Amino acid sequence: MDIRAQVSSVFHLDKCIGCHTCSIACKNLWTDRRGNEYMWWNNVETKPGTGYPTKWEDQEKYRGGWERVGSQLRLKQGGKASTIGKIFHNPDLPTMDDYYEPFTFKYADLINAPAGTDQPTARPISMVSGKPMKIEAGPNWDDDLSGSTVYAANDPGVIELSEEQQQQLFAIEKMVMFHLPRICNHCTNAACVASCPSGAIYKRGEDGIVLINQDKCRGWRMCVSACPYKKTYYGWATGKSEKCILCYPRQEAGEAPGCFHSCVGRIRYLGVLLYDADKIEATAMKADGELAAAQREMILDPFDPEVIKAAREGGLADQIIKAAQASPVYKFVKEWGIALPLHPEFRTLPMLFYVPPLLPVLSSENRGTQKISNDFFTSLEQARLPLKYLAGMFSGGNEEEVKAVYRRLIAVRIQRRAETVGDLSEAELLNARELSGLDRDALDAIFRMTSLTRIKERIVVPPMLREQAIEAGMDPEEYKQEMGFGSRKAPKRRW
Amino acid sequence: MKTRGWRADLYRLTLGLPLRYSLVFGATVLSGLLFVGPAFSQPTGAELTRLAEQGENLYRQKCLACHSIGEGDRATGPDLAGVTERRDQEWLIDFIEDPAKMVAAGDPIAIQLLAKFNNLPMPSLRLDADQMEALLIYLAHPEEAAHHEQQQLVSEAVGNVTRGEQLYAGSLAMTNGGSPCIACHALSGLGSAGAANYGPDLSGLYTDYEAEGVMAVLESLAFPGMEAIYASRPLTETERLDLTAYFAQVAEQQAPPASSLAGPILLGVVIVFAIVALMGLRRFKGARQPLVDQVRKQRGMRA
Repeated sequence: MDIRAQVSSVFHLDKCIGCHTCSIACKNLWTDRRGNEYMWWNNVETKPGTGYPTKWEDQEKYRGGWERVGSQLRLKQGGKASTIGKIFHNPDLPTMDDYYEPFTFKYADLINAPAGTDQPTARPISMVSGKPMKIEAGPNWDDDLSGSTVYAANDPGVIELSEEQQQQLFAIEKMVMFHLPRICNHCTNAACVASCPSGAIYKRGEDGIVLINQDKCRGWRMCVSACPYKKTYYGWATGKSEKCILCYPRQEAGEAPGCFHSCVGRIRYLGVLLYDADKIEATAMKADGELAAAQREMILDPFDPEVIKAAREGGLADQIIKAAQASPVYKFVKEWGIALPLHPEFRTLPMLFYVPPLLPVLSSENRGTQKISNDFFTSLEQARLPLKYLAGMFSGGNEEEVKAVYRRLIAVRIQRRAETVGDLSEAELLNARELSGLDRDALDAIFRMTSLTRIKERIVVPPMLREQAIEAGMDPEEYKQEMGFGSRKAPKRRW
Repeated sequence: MKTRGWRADLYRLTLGLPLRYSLVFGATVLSGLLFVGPAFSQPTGAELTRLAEQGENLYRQKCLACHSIGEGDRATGPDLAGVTERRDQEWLIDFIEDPAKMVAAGDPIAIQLLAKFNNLPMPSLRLDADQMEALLIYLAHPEEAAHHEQQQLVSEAVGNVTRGEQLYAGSLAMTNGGSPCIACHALSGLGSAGAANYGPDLSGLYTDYEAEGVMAVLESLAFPGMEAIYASRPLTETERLDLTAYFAQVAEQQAPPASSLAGPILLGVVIVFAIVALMGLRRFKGARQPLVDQVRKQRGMRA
């Protein structure tokens, strides 16, 4: 057993209202620089939809992530020799149009325009060329199903559905959607790390945050194509690639990452997971449908004395183990089993998990009276999103995984309704509980964690122990006192 | 207005016309002295000897490689004895200054000469006016410099062919740092390596010039391109002998001519471009725009 700690997170999609506050917080913190205008380390997509960049989930197009070749795991875009072969012309990069051409408006025209009979207008200006442009795309262009005939209809998950299911999905008055906030997954088996010809990308040993060393990055952009989630971005002003850093400077100061802190719906949970690094390869080799379960297997119980012993032997500090025990992510993923990784079939073992959305059933109209379906929240069969679609997103096509999660989420609701309204029979409650496989306390705990907790319970930032991590290289006291002074190094270039 | 002022004054004093005449007359006499004068003044005595000797030096430096005086025509050029009688002076000066220009201008004698001497063009000697005069005087009066003992140009020593080849190919450095011949010239028998085309192909050099001529060219650097390279880094006597011996051997062997690398390189470039273009076919062409175009097409909208 080789036990490592990973700062990981859970996004509760039932709670996401798609307000993009997280995206704005991230943009203002990190990517409001020239050359980074188009980057959204955090973005919120509407599902069904093609997302950002357009159709990023379609790896037949983008060739990101891993694939199994015989008994070997190989980058879908090709191995080392192939990387060198196309190092000057990576053919798999998204075009600017697939992200969107960043724009602003010529606001000065509004006040400088000469007097006339018409209102002055501010024309859109490209932030790349500085010239007037026609805006044809944006980072959330298909927000709330806008342009659904183009975007939602071409969602790679939707295309997989039967004609009938597709029609149901987009039927008038029955249309359905939910929001999917995305950041870097800080994968355990990160494809970006594996693809980098310069060796500039690394996964921090102490907390598993995946970072790009800006001194080493040479801008080959192999990570951009290798990441199946398209979460590394090339900054054309610096000539380097950049990605979500999980706000590690904030975490080192004990703060929640920007997007977590600003989340209006409180959908984001953060905590440490302990996992067995020896199992990474075997886990990533599993069949598509088994990947989500195998990844859960890889995550270890921080209360297990044997795990604690092995963790200590592996050099994990007691504070980290304590943080892992308090981690809400462990509860969501392992204890309650209601959070699943996004697209595990990309085989990068993403460490960001999602609680899938349980949309309300439809009300029906009959002779002028509105009636909500009898079995409120209770029927999987009446779920408005086809299970196949959700399974395609969260469990590599394994519908049983998604069903199990939904049984638990439904059980929580039935138990709460029984308690607060009291109109459900005991038999119904017991049946739901039995189907979920969780006891009364666990269901209550899910309810509590989902709705009543404060930020310190939702976001358990572990002590980052930077002084221990850096003391091999420099004096931590000196670092603490002098950090922020002195010159910033200009990026090294060979040309 | 001011100049007009003083001229007007002169005319008013009736001095204008005499002044104008005297100026025109003076200018005519002066220019006559400057341009026509020298033509009338043939040097004599010590001056003639001095010029003839200077001319002989030039002759030995620049002409001897290809020409002779009184020994009959060589393969490389006509005998120059009595050339000043055969051709008029103006033609000679024009020809020596730039033979190529004469040929290009269609001068019948120049074209005839070129055809007669194996199409070997004569290089421009780039002489200044004084040198030209001295050379012509020498050619007209070779006896005036006769006290110059004609020394044997080709010594009895014979060069080393192997060393010559090494010097030619650059595997052996020239003593004074001159660049190897292979850098600019093509030579048969060296394959693609000996296919440079900055200077002329040297495969027929020995046949055209023979030992004496080759030695003289290598020493006198009659060709301007050679002069620029070797004037400050002259070839030594031994090096010249070795190279001459090597050229002699090449002329004898009749090795296959040097094949140019241009073809293979061009082919290589085309292949590389083709591979890149083939790879480019698989290039990601964008995901969003095709979706939009597809829907627009379905609805019969303009793309």
